[in-house]
Amino acid sequence: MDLISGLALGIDTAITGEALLYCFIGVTVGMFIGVLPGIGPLAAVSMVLPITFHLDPMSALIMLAGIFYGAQYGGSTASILLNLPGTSTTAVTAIDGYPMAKQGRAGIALFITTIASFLGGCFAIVLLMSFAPVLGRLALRFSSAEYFSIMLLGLVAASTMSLGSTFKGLVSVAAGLLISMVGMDPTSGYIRFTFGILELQDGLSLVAIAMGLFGVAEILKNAGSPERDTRALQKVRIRDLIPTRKDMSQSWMPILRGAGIGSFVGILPGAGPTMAAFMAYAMEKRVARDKSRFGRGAIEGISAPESANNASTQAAFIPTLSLGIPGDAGMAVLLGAMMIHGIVPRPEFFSTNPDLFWGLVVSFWVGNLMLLVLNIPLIGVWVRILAIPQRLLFPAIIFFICVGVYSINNNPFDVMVVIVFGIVGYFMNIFQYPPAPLLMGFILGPMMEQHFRRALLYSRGDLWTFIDRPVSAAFLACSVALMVVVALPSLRRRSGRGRRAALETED
Amino acid sequence: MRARTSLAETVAAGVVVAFGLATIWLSSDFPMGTVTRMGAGYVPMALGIIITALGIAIALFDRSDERPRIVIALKPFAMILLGILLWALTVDRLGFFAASAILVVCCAVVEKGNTWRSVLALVVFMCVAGYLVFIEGLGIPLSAFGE
Repeated sequence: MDLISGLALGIDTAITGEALLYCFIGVTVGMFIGVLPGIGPLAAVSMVLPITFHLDPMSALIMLAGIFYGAQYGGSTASILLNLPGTSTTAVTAIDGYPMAKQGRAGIALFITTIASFLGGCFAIVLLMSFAPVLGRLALRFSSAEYFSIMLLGLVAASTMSLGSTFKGLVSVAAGLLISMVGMDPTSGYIRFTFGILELQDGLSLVAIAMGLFGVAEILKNAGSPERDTRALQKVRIRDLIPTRKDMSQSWMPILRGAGIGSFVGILPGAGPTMAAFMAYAMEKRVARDKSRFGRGAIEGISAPESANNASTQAAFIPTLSLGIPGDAGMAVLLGAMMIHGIVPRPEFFSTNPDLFWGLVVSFWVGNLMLLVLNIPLIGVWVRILAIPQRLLFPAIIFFICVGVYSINNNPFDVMVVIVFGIVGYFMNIFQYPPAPLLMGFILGPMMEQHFRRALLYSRGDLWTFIDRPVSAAFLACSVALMVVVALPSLRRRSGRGRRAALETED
Repeated sequence: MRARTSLAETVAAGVVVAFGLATIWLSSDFPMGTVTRMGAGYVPMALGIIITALGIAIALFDRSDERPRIVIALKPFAMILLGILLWALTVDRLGFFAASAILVVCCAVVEKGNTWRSVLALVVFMCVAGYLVFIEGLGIPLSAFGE
């Protein structure tokens, strides 16, 4: 299917009253969650997931995807106004955004970040439209060995490129793989790790794990802490938004570079929008003539990372939709949601479900446009959301988590699972074991085990099959190279400072 | 509550090792099979070995640039988890409203600045909103007042 007829099909599917409504709900929830510090898009998506079970797959996907990119728009608001990242992906925006706000240029900063997010997103959607189907066609020739190797690469990338220690990332991935094996083994029907608990036979619930690790754990960490100081919040009026001509001319190139870096990072398995934003910021600092302006309200310091993080969020759909390999933990949850709806993304996806793919693409355009329109005139409303005190917000979030998880199977057992993973996530945070790779491992686990066993069945137990096949060998070589590069301590120390700042929440 | 960080980190790595060893022990009961036809225990066993090895590696070699500061706010931690647990245990018997009220109160009392008025208002708001969204809207089979 070529681009034009694809788009026509997409417009047919995504420009209906229902699809537009769910797109609107998705981006608004995403924006809202993005604005609020302390809760990220992952927790938001898991909270909405039970609701989407009642929708048709197309509306569900449009809405869930909207939350992800919506959060990228919203996150910068808190970064700029309060020096607190709304989501981890916008942590870097605070470095120059907050000084701008102190200089009375908050409105301009918010305007530029919105435009940058929009342009970055558009850039990546064009890439998605042109490359995802091509990649899908290439991947048609993949066999189990290739699938196993590329999933391994994704997991290794997720654990090595995530923040902090490589070993800890790898432990997290391995634990996720292991946890995915609880319940009945799909190949032999053998029951594993259920300890006689009947509810565990079908395996653990993805939503319960995600809400525990990212929702409850995050609140346990911040509960009882002093309220954030919202007195510093400035009123932002629409006429404060208009940037000077100099602001605009200084932003074009950084936005473009950011979009390029973000798209590249987004396509890589395992590297998420946080890394994209940091790389874009570092790039701007390197090419700038006057480096001393950074940290004191340089406009390039907000436009490049904001363009990069949204580009990366959109580009992450390329491997997710064409190969079924999620680019980061957020995409992994989305992949899990698709599988719950009975859609398994794989190379055949483009020929079997062209309406879904193109509908989603068109909904991205619509959603980004909606965000642009929502963001600029309503900026005052979003700023006021920041003033909701956490003493009301936290109990409300916990309440929604409980009811939402309960509603998946109408069983209190899943709520108990949330408690367990809340505690696990809390201690993982304290000891700096990244929780996102665990979730990726959990989602990829069953597929990986099956492909691993199938590949060895075909090769009659010959482990060389993973290396004899050139594509598989290339993926494995990349995995090994990644581990070696990241394990080199000198490299790690150099990037240590940036990593720590982003360590706070999920990617 | 503060702990000596280096010791606490080693204990954490110890927990990882224990987790790995427990996995090995549990999966040794599963059918192993051969490399060609793997049994249900093959991959879990391999993962158990990997996790154990990584735990040992962390305890011995991992030198992170930043020591984590280990401060546990015990009261919010305990109260929130207790609230969730009570909700899960009571929601079927006491009904949606009572269980949710307990949950919201447990979570709200640990936050500074809440008065009994604000907690009450939050309880009423969450119960009504939750009822409308989940029970009326999504048709989740929960009874409002229990059996």
